[in-house]
Amino acid sequence: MFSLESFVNIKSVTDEIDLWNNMRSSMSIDGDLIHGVASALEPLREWFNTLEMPTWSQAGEFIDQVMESLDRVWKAEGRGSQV
Amino acid sequence: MPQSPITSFILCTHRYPEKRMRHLLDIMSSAVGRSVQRELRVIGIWEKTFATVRPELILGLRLCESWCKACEELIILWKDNTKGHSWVGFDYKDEFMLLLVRRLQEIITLRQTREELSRLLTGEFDRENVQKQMQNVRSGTMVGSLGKHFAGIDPLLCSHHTDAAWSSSRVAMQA
Repeated sequence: MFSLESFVNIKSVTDEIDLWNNMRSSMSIDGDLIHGVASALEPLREWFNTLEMPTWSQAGEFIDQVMESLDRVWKAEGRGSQV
Repeated sequence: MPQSPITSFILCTHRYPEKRMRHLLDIMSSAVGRSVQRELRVIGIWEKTFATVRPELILGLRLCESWCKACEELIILWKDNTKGHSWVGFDYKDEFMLLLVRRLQEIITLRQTREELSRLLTGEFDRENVQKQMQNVRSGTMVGSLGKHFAGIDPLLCSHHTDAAWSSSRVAMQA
């Protein structure tokens, strides 16, 4: 059973991206939250998959992308339910 | 109309938890730091001329600094109540990244100091060509001595466990 508070198996950024993507089909928790977080994190996959230091020209783009994605993750909101 | 505690409880929405975000920032910081370490390990920090390694070192340092700043800015943003989802814990600072920033600053300072020393030793009255040749020779020797001082120490391996060995080598070299 998935818990938002549990992240013991999350060892890499890709683990977290995969987890939220896989939950899209299971909908074990709030579907809106899952969709919001999964779509916000997906643009980061390519950056963290390569695990290479961005070149100077890419560094700004990388930081901006991470900030935008994390801000979207933080602001993602579920419909609300009885908890 | 004010909501009763029971209504508020029922309407509680799901949000990405702060503890989970802190963990995500940890693994992202670690990935960024490791990529900087990996790229800089192959440039020959002590072996190559300062002119060769400087741009790479500066790039690594700037990336780490920008990363730390970005994390700080996000937390400031989130502390300022983001539609009812505020960051309430202590500020986020990744210790590994802060250590890496400090280490890179120290490496750049060491290389820069050596470079300036070698220029001074070359003397001001040499003809331009002679000066360049001597500078290359002396610079190479001095850089070699830097490598000798830090033999057996990975300059990019930074943690509280490795800090003592690095610091004592640095102090011994500067003495």
